[in-house]
Amino acid sequence: MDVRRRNNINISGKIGAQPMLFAHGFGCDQNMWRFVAPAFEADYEVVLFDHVGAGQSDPSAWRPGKYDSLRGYADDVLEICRELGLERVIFVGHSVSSVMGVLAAVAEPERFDALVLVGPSPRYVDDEGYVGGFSNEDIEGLLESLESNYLGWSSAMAPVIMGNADRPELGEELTNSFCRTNPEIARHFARVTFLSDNRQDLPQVRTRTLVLQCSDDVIAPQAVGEFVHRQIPGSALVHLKATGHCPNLSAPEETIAAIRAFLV
Amino acid sequence: MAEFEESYGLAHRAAFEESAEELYEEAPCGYLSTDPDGRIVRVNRTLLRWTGYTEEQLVGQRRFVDLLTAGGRIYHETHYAPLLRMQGSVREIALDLRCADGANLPMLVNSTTKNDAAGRPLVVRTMLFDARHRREYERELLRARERAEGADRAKAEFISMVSHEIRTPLGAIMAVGHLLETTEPSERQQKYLRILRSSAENLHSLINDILDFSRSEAGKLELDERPFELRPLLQEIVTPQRVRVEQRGVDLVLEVAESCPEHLIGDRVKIGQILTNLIGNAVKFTEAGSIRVEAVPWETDEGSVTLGLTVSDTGIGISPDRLPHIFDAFTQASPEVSSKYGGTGLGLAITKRLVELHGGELRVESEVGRGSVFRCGLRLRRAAPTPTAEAAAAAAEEAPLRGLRVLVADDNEVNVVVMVDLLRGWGATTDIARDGSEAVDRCRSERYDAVLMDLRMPKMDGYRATREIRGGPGGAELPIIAVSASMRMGESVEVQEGGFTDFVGKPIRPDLLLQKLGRWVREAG
Repeated sequence: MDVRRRNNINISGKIGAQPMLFAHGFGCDQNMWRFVAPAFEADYEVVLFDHVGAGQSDPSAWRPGKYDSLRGYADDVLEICRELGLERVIFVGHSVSSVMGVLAAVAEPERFDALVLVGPSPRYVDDEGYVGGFSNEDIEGLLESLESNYLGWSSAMAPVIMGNADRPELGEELTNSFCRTNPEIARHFARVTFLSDNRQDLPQVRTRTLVLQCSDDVIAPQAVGEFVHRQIPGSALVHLKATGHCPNLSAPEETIAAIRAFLV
Repeated sequence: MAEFEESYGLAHRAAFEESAEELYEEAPCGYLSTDPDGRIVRVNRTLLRWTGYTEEQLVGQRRFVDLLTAGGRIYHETHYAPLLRMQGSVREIALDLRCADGANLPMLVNSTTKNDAAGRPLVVRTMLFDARHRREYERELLRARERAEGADRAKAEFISMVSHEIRTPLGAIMAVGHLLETTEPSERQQKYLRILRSSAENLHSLINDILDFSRSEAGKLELDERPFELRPLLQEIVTPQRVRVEQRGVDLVLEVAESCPEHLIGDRVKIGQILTNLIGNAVKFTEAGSIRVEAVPWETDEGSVTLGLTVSDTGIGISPDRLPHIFDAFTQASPEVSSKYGGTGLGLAITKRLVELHGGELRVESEVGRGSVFRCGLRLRRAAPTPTAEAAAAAAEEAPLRGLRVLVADDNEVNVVVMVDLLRGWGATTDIARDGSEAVDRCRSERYDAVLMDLRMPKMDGYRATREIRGGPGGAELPIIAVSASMRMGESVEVQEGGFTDFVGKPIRPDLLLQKLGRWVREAG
């Protein structure tokens, strides 16, 4: 198994320095970190990858069973660490990848120096005494939404080539489609992500942890971020001014500053 | 005059501006503008009419994402918003709007971000198209596809089940025919037996073709790659066919280029099928002249070879109008061909798929009255030479199974009679178990040199019995040969996973059974 090819691993920054491993969430690929990761290249070895089924990963590596729970994805994170010989890893996970980082750090605590969880949620569906923000029907609605969009996938997700005078450095890459996903795997990943429940894993974390909580995040509401913060011993919680679920795209400077302040 | 022009110009411009405004408000699509945080700053009348909201309820009050269904909100946040941030625009995203009365309105959404001079997002302009009909069509298409796929699956399963059910009694007919031949039949009876045998064999190969085809339709064909030697394999394939044509005075020539590597890794069963089908066709359609089978390496590198196989004949040929269709399933060169020569019209369709499985392409050239040439290249890996099992197999035929004890586990009376008679004929002693648990008990109390294990038995099936025997004393080394009508090409994985040493298909070919028993008993020491 060629892990580098399977997960389309890209390494940049200061090779040999302390590694920062960035994990993207559901719906996109490592492009999610394009405005954040470069800021750390001067001081860290920056490792980017795509989950199996997303971006330029090798979809043939996908196996039912292994990827039926987030643990399978967490195993991939550990395999990447082992393959690259990463130690004292700073894991930065967005959305569902936060939980993968938690699972990986609980399994091999000695390998991780810090966890940065951006918009984490251990459970998306409401439960007794817990507000995740969604019902089971809502998740079915998402799957329908995926279905409708994958029908027209080629037009909806096709590369958009546009005049990009404000960011000429992106021009070349824009000819490639961002966030290309294998529809079958994405459907499965959506189910695994939004029906997961990893609340009991949070208290097991022994790694220093930063929780980044956005304003008006419909996917991971404030109450969920606070829950994560309460459950992970000694964790820090930072509220971002950024709205929505993707501060790494909408407010990269604020996100970078919060991560830097935590790591110093 | 100047005054008039001035006032006309003003009036004209006012009229134009009003019309632009109207175009916006009454456009046949919804318009909606939001600030970078998603808050609605402007919305046109069309969208208000569609959704049943008032301008006051939306502008400055809600974000675009608030108008979506819960599932749509997740999609918006995980796909739509990131793409918009990265690309500056998104096109044709399917989302449902939640109307004021709670109803869902399927939309097709396009958004573009307008940036300020510093490149910061200023406003997002969104156009929404009514997609109710389109969504209905899409759903209908999906349903139709699911129905069609379901029907296809059901058909394939039905074919597979029926073929399987036919194969079991047919196996008994063939095996009993074989036994009858050993009872010194009269000349007349021998003639009947020959007809019985050839009809049964035809029916058998027909059913195998149907099963292979339905398997390849279902995408279940896989290569079972093992080391093999090229020249002996080709000889093995060509020899039986040569016997058939020589009676007719047709030459069957096999030529293997010297540059062909001898040791290869591939699926010898499927390579055999490819060549047997092609040569079988040539044999069928060639009344005089010759058939040439050539093997030439087309491309060779250190690790692999593209083995070019060519089968050419001087037969009846195929007319140009039929040529493009000969690889289609259930197609023959003409109705006369099918009535004169028989066959299902599946052979070439299967062969083509088998070639494609090897990364090659099956091509044909033909001229009516002159003959046909079929060509394909199979991508095979090269192997290091290994000692062959052939010498051992030959020895086994000379030395039958005298002194061996074999347990026959099968609940089917006919199968038991056939196998026991064969085994006794080879000098082995036999015991019989009528179900899996009896087989397990017998293996615990007696010592056997081999077990023939039927897979479907009452009480305990062959898989479980094999697991239990393997777990018992001496069970790990015992040759257990699965006997099944359901296993054929590409299912050797099942053999390994089931813990079997090997398998023989039903109907049982005595020569194969003898060969396999001999081989495994010898290997077990």
